[in-house]
Amino acid sequence: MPRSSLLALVPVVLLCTASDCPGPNPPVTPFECELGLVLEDSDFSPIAADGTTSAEMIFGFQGFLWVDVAIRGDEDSPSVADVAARIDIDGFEPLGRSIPAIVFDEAGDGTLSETVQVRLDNSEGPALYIGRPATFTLKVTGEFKETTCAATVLLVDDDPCIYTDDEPICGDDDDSAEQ
Amino acid sequence: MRLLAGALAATLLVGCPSWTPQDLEPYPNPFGEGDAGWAPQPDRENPLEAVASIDGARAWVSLQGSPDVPGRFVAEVDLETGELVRKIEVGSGATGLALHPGGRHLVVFNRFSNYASVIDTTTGRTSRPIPADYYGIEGVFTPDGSELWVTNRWRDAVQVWTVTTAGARLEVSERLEPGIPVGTNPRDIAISADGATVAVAALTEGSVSLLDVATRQERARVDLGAPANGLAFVGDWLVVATTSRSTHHQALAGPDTDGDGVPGDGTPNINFQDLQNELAVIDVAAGVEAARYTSDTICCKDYRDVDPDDGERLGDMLPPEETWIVGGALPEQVLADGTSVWVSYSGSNQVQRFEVDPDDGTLTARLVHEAAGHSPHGLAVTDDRLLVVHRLGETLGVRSSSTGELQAVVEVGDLSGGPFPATDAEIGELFNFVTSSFTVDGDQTCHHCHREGGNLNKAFSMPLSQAVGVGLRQTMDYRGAADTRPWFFEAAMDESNFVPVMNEFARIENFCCSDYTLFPSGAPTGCSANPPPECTSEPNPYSVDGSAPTRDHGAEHASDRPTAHASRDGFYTAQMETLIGRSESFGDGLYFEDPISDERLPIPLDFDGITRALGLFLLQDTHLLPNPWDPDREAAQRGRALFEGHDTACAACHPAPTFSTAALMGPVVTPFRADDGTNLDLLAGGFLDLFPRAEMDRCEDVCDPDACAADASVCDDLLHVQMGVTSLRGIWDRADSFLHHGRARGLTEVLATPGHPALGPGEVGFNERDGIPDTHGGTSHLSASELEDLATYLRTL
Repeated sequence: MPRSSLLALVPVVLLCTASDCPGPNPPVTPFECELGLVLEDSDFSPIAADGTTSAEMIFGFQGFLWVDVAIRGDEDSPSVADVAARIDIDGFEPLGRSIPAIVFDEAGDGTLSETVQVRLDNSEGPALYIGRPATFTLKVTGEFKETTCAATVLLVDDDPCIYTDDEPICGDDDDSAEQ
Repeated sequence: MRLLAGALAATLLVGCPSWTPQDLEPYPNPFGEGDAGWAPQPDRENPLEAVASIDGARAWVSLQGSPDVPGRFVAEVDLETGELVRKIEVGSGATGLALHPGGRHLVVFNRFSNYASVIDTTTGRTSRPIPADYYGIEGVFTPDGSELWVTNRWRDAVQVWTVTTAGARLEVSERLEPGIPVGTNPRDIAISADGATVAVAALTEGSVSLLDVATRQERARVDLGAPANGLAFVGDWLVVATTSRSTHHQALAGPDTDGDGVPGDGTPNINFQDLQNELAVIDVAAGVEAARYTSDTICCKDYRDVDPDDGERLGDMLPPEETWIVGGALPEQVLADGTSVWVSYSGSNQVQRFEVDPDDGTLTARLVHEAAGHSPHGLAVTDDRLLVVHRLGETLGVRSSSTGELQAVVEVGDLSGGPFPATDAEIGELFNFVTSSFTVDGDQTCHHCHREGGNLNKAFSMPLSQAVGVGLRQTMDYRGAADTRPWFFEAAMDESNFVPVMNEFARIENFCCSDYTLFPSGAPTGCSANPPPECTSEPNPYSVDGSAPTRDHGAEHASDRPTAHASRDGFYTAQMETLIGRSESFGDGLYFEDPISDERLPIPLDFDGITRALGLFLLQDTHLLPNPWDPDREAAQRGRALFEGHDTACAACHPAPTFSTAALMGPVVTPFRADDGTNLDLLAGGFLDLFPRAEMDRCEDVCDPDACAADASVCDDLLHVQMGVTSLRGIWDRADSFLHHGRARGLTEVLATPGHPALGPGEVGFNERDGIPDTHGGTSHLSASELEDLATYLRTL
């Protein structure tokens, strides 16, 4: 049977009786949020509004590059949400990323998300982005709740190594470099 | 009702009351309308094989379709006018074509029907169908036309039909069934000119069987160590399309995967750089492989490629340079044409001719021709024409058989929904099968290891391993991908981010603008579009000596830089632009909802975008081959009761309907270990950082923290990786190597505890973990026949 024939059956399958039809979706309600960084000595460090906060790019496994952020919501935060992220790095076209099923802290008060891994790039590595301002805009949607939060950071990278399958390969200024 | 009417008609025709024509039903897909990314797909017919009439005036092309939407037509083409004459309805999943030497009867093997169709080529009508097992795939007639030899994927056998012809009819008077056993999943078949030898290629097992026609016995089985694709006889030689024997392991460390008695796979490259395109030449009389030819780009494109002159990196273990002549990716079909052969490269949209020396079987490469459509597969030849079937392009290319020049392109499939690809899922499908354009050396495709969506009968070393080049991961089929999200044994990745696999095709270390050591303060603006001089003058620091030593065109064995592009995203978008004329998604399944504008925007077809397109293709259909096993058999019913019972508890972790769960769990069988006890299943630390869903013990979890601080690997023998639950749907068609390390040979070894009475001589029971039995379900109490019942049930899933 061709696909078009299968598709013709879909409306029939979707019909339901009055008693078993689901009710209308509840309205989407907003909640408040702010973006922060996850630092080694702190669970959550809010990103300053003046754009001076440095965010370390993680140049990790096989050269993938990302920034770990976290979302702190209010008491109305969903327990699980999808994130649509837009990253505007100065001098570059905006990047779009979809990050599914982010869990808000089940053990705590339910307002802090788990670490949200925002992949910047799979191609260029950190060199192009060092020292550039970047604005992260995250739309968070889940359980008929929605918010958008944004913050601007300065992208930095303190790690001069690229992580291959073997030992890290580091820059010429590193004596441990494996060439 | 339609099926019933067809059944009645066929019963009358065939005159056999116990037989009615049946088609297998596709599997249901959990991924459907309402799921993010799902979109309706155009009708396609996926033309596969071609055969030409004896006078060369016409050709027929099987329209196979897919496992989820099978085709059921054969296209007839007038080669003089270059026009489609008609489409002839046959069975479900029309695959192989065999033209009787008399020229009137064309037998069509319908893989999802319990019959073969017979077309009267003089009228274009079908005559009485031939009852058959499901999964007849390809067939060849003996030169006198008295026998038809048929590969059967379900039975893993070659069946022999004695045939007679009368008018429009072709009858089978005698059958050898279930047939002559051959390797797992036989597909292509050929017969020598003298009619004495039939050769059969086992796609999944990676072997070629030479069958003696007179005795109907297997005379020799040649292990290729890689998928056996198409094959063709030329005189005393058999040319077989295949890939490399390598398992991506280190050459001389880790498991002995080449069977030479010493560790390693015997090839110096590792990971995906070890994957090559090859042609094997078999000495038919001796029944042995006489020569093996490999990729013309085996060196030195990727920064990791081993140079033949680099003795320190075992360059002398590379094959001799005079064998580097295979010019395309994934040799698919081989067609004899006098003293030469044509080869289709489904992974790089190319065809190539090779001359075959009749005395010693030496191959000499001729020009590589670009195909006129995506994923060339079937080939046929007339006196002056070469026919090339473009499986994804839905067309037939007609070329000069002397020059290779393209003469015509005929639409034989279905382009009513637009040229392929027309949707984002189809972009992913294109990438899956024609990946080579996106690889640094043009050598690899996804399809190399996931042949027709299935797996291979061997385990590989994968780059996610902590033990680089020495661990084992069984190849997985990509069928039922929606059953087992997150994906892979580690259950850490999903359809949007399985980047470590994709990464192997074009590592960023190859691209200048990614070079952190060259541009420690950041690459110059516009680096990708306008690479600075350093990009051609400076060595690649990520390359060890001898391997792509500079980015200069002039370097020995590095005639070209890995690509003309200075960044991977630039490379990917440019390659997609070349291949399909667009560099962003259609937006039907892949889009980005901008959180600022709320617009739904197409996404660039860069590394991330193409990864997501491929993920969508994997989910859009099940790709599961419809199951021919009868679930109502008594043995299957008994097995089902055992499966669902509390004693075995199989269903607890493999619940219907997908027979999988998204849960992670500790290892249920003994990990693959080194001789010193080190767990070689462990994951690289960087992998765990990139994929926080993956779970692995930390040293501190199992050992003294002070000891761990002194030596992080001190307790690697005690650490474990959490694993996902593999779906059992479609297990009937998988390779015989099972479990995450691929060391269990057959379902009995998977299910049996050590010493179980069901095990035969030399067989090992893998249902134990570190000596404790029944860790992979309770089976030690089952009798041998009960264990077989359980396996019988599994084959019905």
